[in-house]
Amino acid sequence: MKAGKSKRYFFQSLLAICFMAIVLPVSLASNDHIEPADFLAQVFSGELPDSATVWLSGEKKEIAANILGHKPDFLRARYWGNSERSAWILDEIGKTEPITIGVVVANQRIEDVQVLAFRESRGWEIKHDFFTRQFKGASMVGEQQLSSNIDGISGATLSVRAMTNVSRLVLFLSATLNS
Amino acid sequence: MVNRRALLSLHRRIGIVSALFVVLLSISGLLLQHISSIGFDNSFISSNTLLRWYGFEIPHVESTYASESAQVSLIEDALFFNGSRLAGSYSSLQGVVDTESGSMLLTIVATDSQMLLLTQAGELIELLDSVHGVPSGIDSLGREVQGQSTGLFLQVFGEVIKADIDALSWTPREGGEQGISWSQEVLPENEKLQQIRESYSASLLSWERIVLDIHSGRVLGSFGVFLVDLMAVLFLFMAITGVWLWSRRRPGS
Repeated sequence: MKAGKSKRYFFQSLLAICFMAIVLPVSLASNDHIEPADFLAQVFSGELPDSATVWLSGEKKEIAANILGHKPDFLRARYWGNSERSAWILDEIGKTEPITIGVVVANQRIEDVQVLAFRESRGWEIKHDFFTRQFKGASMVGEQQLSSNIDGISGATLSVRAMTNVSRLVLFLSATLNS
Repeated sequence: MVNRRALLSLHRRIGIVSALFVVLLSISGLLLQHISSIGFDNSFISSNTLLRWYGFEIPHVESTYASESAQVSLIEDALFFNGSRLAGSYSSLQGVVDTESGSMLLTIVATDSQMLLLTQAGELIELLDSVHGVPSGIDSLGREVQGQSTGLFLQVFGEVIKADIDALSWTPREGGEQGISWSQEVLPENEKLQQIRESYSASLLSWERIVLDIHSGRVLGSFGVFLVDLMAVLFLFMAITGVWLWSRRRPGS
């Protein structure tokens, strides 16, 4: 009787583990995205400031290429806000598809990073808070490096790299707003 | 009672048959494990035979618009600017015009919900979309032809909207379509259309896809998948019989 009961518990536990193994990754990988307008409204509490642009030309273009590891896909980057606090929305390819990333910089430190749209089939873990919170408070040190160490995610190397590089680029570009 | 001699003979025969597959799966598995560092994920095959084998039909160019300096074509989800593919994927093409912004000459390309600001060499300056206020449902892109004005206009669900790409303002125009020259579709020469099709087809099939399909057997269709499944069952058989035969081996044999 006792053996039958423990056997039933064993199979119930096994079923539960199988269910979690199937359902959990699917729910975490769901294709939800944040509208850029909603991101900006959230950052500026509904009062959207004017936007302005920074041209990537000359030395800025070279530094941007060094940060990204390739020639930037755009010649000017747009931001909302001012040199003290600004929000940027940039696209960067993870593996094959662009990831839309929103970055907020306040006083030359990252205030927030969010994945607004993720189109790759792998590496979606970067959109979760457990990963993005590593960027909060990071500033730029040395040759456009982040002051905080960003722990990678196994299987999401390229997505992690894309987000790290976009954060570095935004810190670099926001620093040029003062000059 | 299992006949040990017969099982040993079967184990050996299956071992020979599956050896080739072990080699194939090991090599393809190793390649997949290091696919990014080898660069196979970004290398594409342009062989027509392989494309046909995969059932890819090279699509036709859907539409082409031209300005004074550029010809832009839409094929599937790709835009080609003077024969070179633009980064990104796009669902439509509604017009192309040249304009001035500050002291720069730009080419503007409109899709149904985006405006691409390009240099006349085809470098993307900026992509404007809903976050910049670009209305969705763009039917046409046009330019004012009266006087020195270089104003840009969009036709959205029958309404004419003046677009200011510097100030990011999108205001309805009271004067309707008067004085606006709308970008018109053109028909490029066959040679140019063929070049675009060939260029597009060269980005359809990656080496990663081929290696992945060799590894899973899908390169031979459903028969290949069945074959790999069968091999997996044989590998299991080999592992089980191998352990069993080893455990029952005669001392000193």
